Amino acid sequence: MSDATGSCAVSATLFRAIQIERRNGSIYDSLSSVFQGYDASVEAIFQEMAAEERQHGALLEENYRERFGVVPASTKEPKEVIEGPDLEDSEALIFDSMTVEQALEMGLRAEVGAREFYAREAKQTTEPQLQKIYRELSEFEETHVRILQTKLDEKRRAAGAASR
Amino acid sequence: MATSELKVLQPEPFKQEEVPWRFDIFARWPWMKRLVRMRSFQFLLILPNLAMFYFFLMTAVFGTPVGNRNIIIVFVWILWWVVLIAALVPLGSRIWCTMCPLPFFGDWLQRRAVIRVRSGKSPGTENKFFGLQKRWPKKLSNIWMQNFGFLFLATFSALLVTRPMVSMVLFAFMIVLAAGMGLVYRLRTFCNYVCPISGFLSLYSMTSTIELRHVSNDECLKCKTKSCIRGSDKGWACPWGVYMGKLDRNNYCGLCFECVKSCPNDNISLFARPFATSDVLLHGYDEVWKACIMLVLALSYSVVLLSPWGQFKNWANVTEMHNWGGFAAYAFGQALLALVIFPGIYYLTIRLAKWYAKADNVPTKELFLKYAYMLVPMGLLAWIAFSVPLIMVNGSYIISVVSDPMGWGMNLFGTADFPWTPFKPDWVPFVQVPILLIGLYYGLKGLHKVGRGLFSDPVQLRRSLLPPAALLLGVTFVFLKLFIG
Repeated sequence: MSDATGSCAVSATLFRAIQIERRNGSIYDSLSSVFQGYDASVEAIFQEMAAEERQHGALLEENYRERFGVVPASTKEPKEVIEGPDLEDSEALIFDSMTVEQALEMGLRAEVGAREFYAREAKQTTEPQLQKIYRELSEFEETHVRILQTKLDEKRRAAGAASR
Repeated sequence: MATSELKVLQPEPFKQEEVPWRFDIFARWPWMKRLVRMRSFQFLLILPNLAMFYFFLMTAVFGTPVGNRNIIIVFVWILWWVVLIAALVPLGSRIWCTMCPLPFFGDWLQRRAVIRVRSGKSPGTENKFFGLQKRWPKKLSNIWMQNFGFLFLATFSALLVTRPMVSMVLFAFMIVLAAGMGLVYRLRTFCNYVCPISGFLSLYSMTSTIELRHVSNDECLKCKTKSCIRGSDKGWACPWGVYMGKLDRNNYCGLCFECVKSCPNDNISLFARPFATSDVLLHGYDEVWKACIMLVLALSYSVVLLSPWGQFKNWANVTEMHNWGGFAAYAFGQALLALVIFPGIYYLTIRLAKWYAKADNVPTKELFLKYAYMLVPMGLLAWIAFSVPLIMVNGSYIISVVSDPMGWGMNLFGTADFPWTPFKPDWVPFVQVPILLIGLYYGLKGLHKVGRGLFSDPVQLRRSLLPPAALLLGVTFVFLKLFIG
């Protein structure tokens, strides 16, 4: 692969990552809206996660601008899921059973999925530039995994303390 | 709970190993999809039912008080019941809920629209709803009210199925309650938590040969709007509060098809699937008790209405016999059997299964909840078997009452004088027995499927299945004894 082609693939990969963060921001906004008027803490945690995704997107955009200049206006949605936060229980609203912990676990699952996806891609590709960006993205997701894991541990500890 | 992230990655202990066949009905017959996507689809189904319902209520008020001469009794408690339990539920899941007239006024008050959709920002949705839009209390967000409601109604079934006015009062009350709840609470709160009919439809729809599901999981994962549950300018937010992205059982999908209209990715379809094979998990004690209550009531109805022991019928028929002591014994005995004795026997069976299989790694609660599925197909088929004599013995009332719905002596279609003619009554047991055995077969099949998801060791699996299978056989034997003596 030539340098130009490699660079093009890197910019496309980075742009896709930006789009996915944006998309996830919208997904968390929607989920926050679903739980409006139910458990306020669940609604709030989804809003928080939406804000975080947007912040991740902004960081990636900065990275993109430093490397390739202006971030293109998004045209098509990426086909891949890569990092897809989703409710695990289709009946959570009926039984009012969604908890903050479950919401965080959901986010964590999505971030772990993304980290593993990028790590796998880094291993599979032979193109050095692409490999580098996949590694960077994998590390980027790793920091999100750690943040969410810390939050989840805190919630569990708080819940444990409250139950005692 | 472990705090490591590994917990998140571990699969659930229960895995559905085999995926049963299914085919996409909307893909095969696209006209059906076009039909359900029509905004007027549900209203066009409800309208004739609503008119008929209104007519039935009027016949109860102005028609004869003699049950078998009044159309409300004959059509609702013989024809509708048999069609519902023997055809609509097993073949069409909750298709009755699609056309049910009871929540119509509640929906109308909430939406102030019959057909069109209103965009807006009512809490949790992209639609505009009216009324107080309160959230149903969390403590009542289960089906216990439906369980107790159905048991209560069943206790007075002798009254309900013989007195037109009693049926009228019940249905009128339900319509008013559904409308009132629609004004105060969000969406179909009445259907989700209160309607006693909805409770058993929810349970037995698990066996149905159709399901409404997403087509591609990836499309749902990528979906930014979650319009299936939040609504859009094309469709109302799911009245039942179901999220289609992860829907894996029929219980709480009322088949209103709003999600088919609102999904921006055209990702919802109707699928055909084998009977009683796909949805095999009960999720809570309320659902397990529902299964127990329904099975016990099928047994109790069979004893009261079909058995040679007339004493039970006399006890149940309190308004004619005025035996209040007998009625109290019947009501208390039925409730005790449904709420305590049978669930208690089931619990002991599960404890025995756990001990015999040396299944210390599986919590008793998990085994109790998961093995209870066996009661679902068994219960449904027991109800169908119970309903066979209703239609074969009393079905001829339908022919006569059609011509004289009020019992006023009219003869609209010339069939008013059609005599009570049981259809091959001596064949009834020959129809009931295979139906029961089908229930047993699917109960055992479901039990085995759930068991395989819990135990990988075949010896442990076999041992864990033995006690509940014996219970199911015992239940079948009791029904057989009742039906064929």
